[in-house]
Amino acid sequence: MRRFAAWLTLLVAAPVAISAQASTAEALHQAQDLYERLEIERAVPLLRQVVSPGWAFEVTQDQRVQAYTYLGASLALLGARDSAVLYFRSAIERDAFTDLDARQFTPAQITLFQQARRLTFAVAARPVAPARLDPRTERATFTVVTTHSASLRVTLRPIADPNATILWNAVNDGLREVSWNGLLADGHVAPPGRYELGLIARSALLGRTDSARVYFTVAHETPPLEDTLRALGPDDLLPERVQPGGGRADLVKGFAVAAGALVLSDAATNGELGRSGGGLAVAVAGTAGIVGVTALLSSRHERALPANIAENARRRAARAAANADVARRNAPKLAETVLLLSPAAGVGP
Amino acid sequence: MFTPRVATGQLRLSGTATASLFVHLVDIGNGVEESTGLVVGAEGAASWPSRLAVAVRAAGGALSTDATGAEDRKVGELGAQASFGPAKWLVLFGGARSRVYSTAVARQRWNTVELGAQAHADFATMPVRAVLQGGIFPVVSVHGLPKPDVAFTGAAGLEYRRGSVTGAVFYELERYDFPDSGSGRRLEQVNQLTLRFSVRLRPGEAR
Repeated sequence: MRRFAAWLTLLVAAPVAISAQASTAEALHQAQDLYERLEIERAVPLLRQVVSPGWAFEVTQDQRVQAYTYLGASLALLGARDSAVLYFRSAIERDAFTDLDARQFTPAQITLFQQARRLTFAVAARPVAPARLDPRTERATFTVVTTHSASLRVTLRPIADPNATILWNAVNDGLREVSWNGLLADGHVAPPGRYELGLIARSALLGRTDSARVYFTVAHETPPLEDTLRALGPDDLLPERVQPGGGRADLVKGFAVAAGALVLSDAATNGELGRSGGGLAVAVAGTAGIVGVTALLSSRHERALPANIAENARRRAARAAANADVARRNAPKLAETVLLLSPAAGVGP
Repeated sequence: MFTPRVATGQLRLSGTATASLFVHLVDIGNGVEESTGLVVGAEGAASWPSRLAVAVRAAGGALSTDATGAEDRKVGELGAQASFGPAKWLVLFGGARSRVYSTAVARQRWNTVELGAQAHADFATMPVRAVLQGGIFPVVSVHGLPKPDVAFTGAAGLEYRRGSVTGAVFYELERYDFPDSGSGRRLEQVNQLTLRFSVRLRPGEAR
């Protein structure tokens, strides 16, 4: 019912027929046409409708800013300076990047707009545009703005890292492009992940502070790297202490080898050829049996295994050396890393 | 016999010297003829972190016999083998080998292809590994002889590791039963007691 009433009000009150309007965009287009034909008295009510709470259509932030801007410009032409400044401020508050093109607006309008900027304080950054950045030769650019003179600090940090890299820390007035070489404060190339571009500014005119944040992700484009060796697990290392149960298992292993040799020399051989090779198998079987029994006897008490400890140390050292070699070979490839920047919605997906 | 290794580190090179007490038994229908002797060999192997390994070996020696009417002979062989370890305890391997028996008047070449598997287990109390191995010869090509009905190999032994040196002792068996081609069945068998000494030429992780 309230929605219907709003519609009814619009239809009755509108000096310009908007029955054919299908959207806010069309209304703004119509208002802009009226403004450019200097039919200001007709453009103003239409623009006021668009920014009014009773406007039935969806209004985007950009459309609202455009409506406020043209309202301010229109009222400036009508001599309503205070109202013009008020609408310009509304536009600036919603989008600090709002500006008037000197080729399209009169000096008087621009003067009022500048006045509005001095009365309004806001800081903002444009969303990070997708970019490909070679840290060796290129710079990424972030566009930031303060509505008037202010001390501005622009920082960049990985979301999970409280330590920020300062990109700008000085007085700023208006638009500024801040460049970034792809490195963090420690001099290393920014690792892949989500980043925050943070702005904080304090007005030199109003003494007010404002801040803004935009997020983006960094991905690496790197030539294929050689994998380092995985960490040595229990299966890669020898036991460094004798466990009482280990001797029994070793005895079984020794007997298994002995049995294998004897079975091979007996059951697997051709009986028609005799048993001439049997002595060789008995020699191996005897050795395996002795080793197994020795293992059992030597494991009655827990003790260190110096040979295994030394072997494990050798394996760890070999792995470390191999990984160092891999890292050395990967270093030139890592130096060719290119950063891929893309806008992000926030601190997480 | 080859003893494939599984590498979990960088490329590893190793060299191996072998010495085998070689017992060659042959029966071509006139009784068993036994030849024995020492065969020495050398082997070079390379293994990769992917647990893939390749090896080549050469061996040779002289065999003597007391059998009536039989001559002493020489044996020499060349072989190559590739292996892959799908599990920590298992290695699958395949290889080809050419072995030549020669006497003063005759020469017989055996070309074989071998497929097999090796299971091994490390001792917990000492740097020793137990090894059992088996394989078949899907291809046995001997001039003048038909394809054998039975052709397989097996081995059992221990390896002892100390630093970059590995010593091993193995009993190995090769058995070939040829079908009767009219003049009786030919049966051949090789028994070997092999000692191996391997040295890691380039550091790497070996299991």
